[in-house]
Amino acid sequence: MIEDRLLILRFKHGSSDALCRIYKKYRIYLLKLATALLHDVSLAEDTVHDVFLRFAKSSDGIKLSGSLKGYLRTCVVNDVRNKVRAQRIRPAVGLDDIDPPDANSGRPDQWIICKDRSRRISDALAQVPLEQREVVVLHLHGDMKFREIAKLQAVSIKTIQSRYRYGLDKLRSILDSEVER
Amino acid sequence: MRPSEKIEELVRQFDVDVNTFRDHQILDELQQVHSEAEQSRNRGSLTCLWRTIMRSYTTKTAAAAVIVLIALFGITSLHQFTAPAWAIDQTVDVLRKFNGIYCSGTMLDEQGKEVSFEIWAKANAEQTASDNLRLEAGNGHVTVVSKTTSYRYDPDANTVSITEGYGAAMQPWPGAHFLESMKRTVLDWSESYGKDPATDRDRVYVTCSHPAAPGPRSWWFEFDVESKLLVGLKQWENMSRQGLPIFNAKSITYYEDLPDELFHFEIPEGAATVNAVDERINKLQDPNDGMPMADMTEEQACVEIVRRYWQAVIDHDWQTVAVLRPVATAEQWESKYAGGTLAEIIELSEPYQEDGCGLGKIVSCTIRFDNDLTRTIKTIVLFREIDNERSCVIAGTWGSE
Repeated sequence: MIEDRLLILRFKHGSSDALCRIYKKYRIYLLKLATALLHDVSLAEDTVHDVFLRFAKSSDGIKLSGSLKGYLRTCVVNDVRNKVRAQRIRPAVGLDDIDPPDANSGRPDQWIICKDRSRRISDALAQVPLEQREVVVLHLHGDMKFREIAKLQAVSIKTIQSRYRYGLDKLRSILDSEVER
Repeated sequence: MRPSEKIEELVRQFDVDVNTFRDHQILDELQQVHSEAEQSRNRGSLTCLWRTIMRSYTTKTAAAAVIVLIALFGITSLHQFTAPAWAIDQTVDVLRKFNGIYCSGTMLDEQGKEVSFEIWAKANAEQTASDNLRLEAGNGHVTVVSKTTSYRYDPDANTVSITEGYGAAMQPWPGAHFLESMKRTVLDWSESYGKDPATDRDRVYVTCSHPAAPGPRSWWFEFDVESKLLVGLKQWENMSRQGLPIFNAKSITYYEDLPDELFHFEIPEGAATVNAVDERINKLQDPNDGMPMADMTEEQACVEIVRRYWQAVIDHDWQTVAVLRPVATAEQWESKYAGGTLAEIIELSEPYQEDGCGLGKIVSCTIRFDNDLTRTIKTIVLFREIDNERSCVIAGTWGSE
């Protein structure tokens, strides 16, 4: 937390090194969130890319009331929601629609590398309704408490707990064979 | 494990990695965008008065991290301000509302090597010194000072030296009081006008010097005409701004306040902690150093060793200085006081105990310089008993020297 405050202060005075450290510290976390929420590698890449671009341009305008991690996470979640709305009017590119990644080199234009097991989990998450998926992903991968997610989704904690439970039930029915392994 | 826990465990296994080549491309792009945004912001009109670049100055203690800004003396200012666009009084007025600063740049360590640094500091209520301070040096040394405790991390030894109270301070505070003092005290003040090549903003450049602060010092200041703020400063330990500046902060930002959490320190995992006072006392136990007390009382010995010490400095008797104050060699003391023009001891106070000073008693010594200026320095005396012989040493000074 203190390190993040220092990074933000440096970044606000124009430190490129601070931007670099923030990027390296949080890009995987944000890419994982975006990919799990979107089930679309290209959109997830675009989302995180856009968030960092806006962040890089607006060092003087950033006002953090909470943590840097939370700020970036909220940016990604909001962007994901916008993209999901836009996605409803065009076909998505799923994780299975892209070429199998090469773990060592990867294609030059591809940022995210997703392994087989993660693909299967993502496929399962994609079948969970967005509101439930968001709760599951933000709780298990975003390190967010139900109270925080409730605030983000502007609903009660009980609703969030229900969505989480329903989301896990849905996943269980999809991933039963995986769980048994 | 319950079924829901199994599902949670499975979902947690979802992970992604990045293509390194593409990752570097994106990072390069972000840095480019950031750089352009910064340049655009700097070219624009003054959107944030407080946001400025400034430099500050300290003594030669970069990595060791004791920050003491050079105190100046009461010399009548000889210079006049002729330019209507800027006057230092305007800068003084603007600086009064800022209680926090951030600065970064380079300073010379004791081997004369440049070390990068970043400093965050909050002023005390009077804006005369820092209350809280955080210094991170490029060589990994970190010093954090809060109102109650000071920490100094040495990454080479993997130790954290802890001092109760202020272990370091930015004194005087580089704010309004400081600049008022500069206005009154420095010599050969010279102003010139120009533009910052990076931002095309109007600048005032000021050079000045002082022969005894305590040794010869010279400075280069840069002020932003529009914001009236100090936007640059370098300090040299000579009168002619020759060689590398001992302190060259390349970026300083003024804040109305800084969050307290900046001045919290977490002891790195595995680092040993040492009491700084004990550490200093242990280093001052050589029976060949110091002054034997013989039949003197502690009070008499206190005053006598302080008198001998400052007289040795006045006489340039560096061997005696090093014996009485064995924290540095004779050569190092000669270098520290080089060019100084101390003339005589005017007054020595009775010994007294200062709150927060765990090393020993303090004697205030008022010294006159060749140019009739006077200055009072609080000198700390440590008492020892080695092999049944009582003696004392100068352990340091309290506040700026």
